[in-house]
Amino acid sequence: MEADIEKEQKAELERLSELVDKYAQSRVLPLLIPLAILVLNAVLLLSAGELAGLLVYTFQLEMYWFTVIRWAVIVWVLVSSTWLTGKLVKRYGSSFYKKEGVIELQEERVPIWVWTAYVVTVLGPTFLSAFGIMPVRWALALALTSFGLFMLYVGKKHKEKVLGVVLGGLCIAEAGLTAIGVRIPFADEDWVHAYFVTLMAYIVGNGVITAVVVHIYNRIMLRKIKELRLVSERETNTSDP
Amino acid sequence: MSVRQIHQIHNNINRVVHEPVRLAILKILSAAKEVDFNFLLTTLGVTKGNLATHINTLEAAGLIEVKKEFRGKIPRTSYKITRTGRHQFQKYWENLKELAPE
Repeated sequence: MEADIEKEQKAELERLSELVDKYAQSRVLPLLIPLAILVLNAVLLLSAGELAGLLVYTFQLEMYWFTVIRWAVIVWVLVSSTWLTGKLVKRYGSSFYKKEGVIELQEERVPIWVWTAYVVTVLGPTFLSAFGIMPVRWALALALTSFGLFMLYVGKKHKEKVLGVVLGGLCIAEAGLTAIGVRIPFADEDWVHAYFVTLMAYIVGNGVITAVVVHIYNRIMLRKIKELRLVSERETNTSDP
Repeated sequence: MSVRQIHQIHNNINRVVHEPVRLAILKILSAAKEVDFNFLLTTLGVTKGNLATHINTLEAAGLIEVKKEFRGKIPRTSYKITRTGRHQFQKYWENLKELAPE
């Protein structure tokens, strides 16, 4: 009899731990921070020339300021996409789930070679495509595959498995579709940024879909935790001996 | 397993750990780096007073560590399992496995 109670208690604890883990690993809303920065940076990069011209004209600056402003935009994009995003997510990420409290999982560090491989395989095709060495289709497929695999890996290391699987999976699926010949949204535009805009649109679009899907999953997990807690409530709300 | 062996395992069981809420707290903390008060309230569904009492018991036994800090102007209390806590919890889990095998 006692063994049965202990078995039941053990099973309940295992279930609670499993649900809490799934719930904690699907707190996806902080993803909206890098997505917002990504959109802002894409707009800034696309309009860097016009922005520099406008500032030079408005403030009657010397012409070298034109180059300075364009480089400042590039530096801002690099800094904000990496360091600033990390800082903002750390500082404000938990505020999305303020009411439910904070849980920090034990994440593992992503090795530098993974970052290097990621940067090379995403930026490489971008440059190769911009210089006309690699066709847009293959560049896009390669960059999306690399981004998808990186998301899967980082998701596992940073204990955001559900996010990694959904976002990474969507990107890899799009890479596959692109490789087999599905129409590329902005490829027909006679526009120098067609590759860049398509890649951004795919990543931001996938990010938004991921945020919605994983957040719904997170709500389901929370509901399950609350249901489970009803089972043990009779025991848990008794006074402490 | 003989009755004597069962009694032996029962005697080895840590009484501080052997309480449903405290056990759940340790189970959650053992999988996380840090957890705050609100999170435990949400997941365990106990009253604030009850949770605070259990936390005090665990802290007094040296099984968890309490960290108080300010995030901007907002105070935040978070909890972390200590090395002793992890060891005791693991030992308790092993005893439980012996009493209630799969």
